[in-house]
Amino acid sequence: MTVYFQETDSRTVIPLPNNVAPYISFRLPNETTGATTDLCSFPLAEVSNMIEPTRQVICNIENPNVAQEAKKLLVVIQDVLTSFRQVGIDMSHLPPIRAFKLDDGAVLIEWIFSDYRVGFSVEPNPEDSGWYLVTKENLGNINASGYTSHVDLKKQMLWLFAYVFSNS
Amino acid sequence: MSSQTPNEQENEYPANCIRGISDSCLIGADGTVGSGLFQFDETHLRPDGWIEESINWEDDEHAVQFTLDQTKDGELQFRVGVAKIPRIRIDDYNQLPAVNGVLSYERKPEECNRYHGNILLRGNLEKPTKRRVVGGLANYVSVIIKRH
Repeated sequence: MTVYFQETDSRTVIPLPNNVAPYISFRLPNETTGATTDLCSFPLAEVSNMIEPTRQVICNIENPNVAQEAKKLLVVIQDVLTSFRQVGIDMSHLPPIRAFKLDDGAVLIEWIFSDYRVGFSVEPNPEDSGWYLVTKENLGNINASGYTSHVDLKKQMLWLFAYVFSNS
Repeated sequence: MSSQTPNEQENEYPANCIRGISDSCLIGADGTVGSGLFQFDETHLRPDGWIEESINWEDDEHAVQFTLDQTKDGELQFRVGVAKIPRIRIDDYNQLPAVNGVLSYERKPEECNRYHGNILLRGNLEKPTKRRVVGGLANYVSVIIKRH
């Protein structure tokens, strides 16, 4: 049995390591006052592990506005991955999603494969934030990008991640 | 902005350029490299409209070790290692319709570094375009040499 905790601030749900879980009561008091319970999107350990490297980077972002936007993005990523997992998509062979802080204050969240990468940039000016998909020639030299502001981010992410699951 | 690209004399360039890696987070367990390898910080925008990103050219068999040995403020500049990017991949990528010549490169030898040059990116790109092009460039890293 996997024991989870939820970070109140970002709402990301994280599995406790097995060596820690026995020391945690299963009857934790519900101290979260701002979150809603959505069992349908409760993430599996596989999903949580996949986004853990990104979560760790986001926790150390100095700019509070960029950190907030990155956390929102991570919640959408978690939801979308969970929905794919719930319809039976196997993710066990996929690399984790990673994040990188840039010198200009932006944060990149990337899912990187040998022949392509899907990425999201969280910019200091949220209007500049965007997404991209770039592939090598063996996958058709796809070079697609756009802004994430004023779009349905979840739909956009479903399309991008569907590409990942089709090509990995 | 100049319509001329700095890399007109193609034959003067070797097969690979070398980019130093100073952050281990950039390298994945599977050998992939994060786009953060190339920053193209807009504070490095030049009057000719290009943003420059430092590289070394692999002109001879000593260039990789020279790059690994480079220091900054008395410490090794590239603590993690170096990445090689084949120049022909940059050229091919740059010719794609969706990239359309926004990349270039040049030699810019320095007094203490004869290998030095720059990869150049047009400075007038929208942010998502810039991130995409840089991501495409990172896709073409062919070799990572980690420091022992």
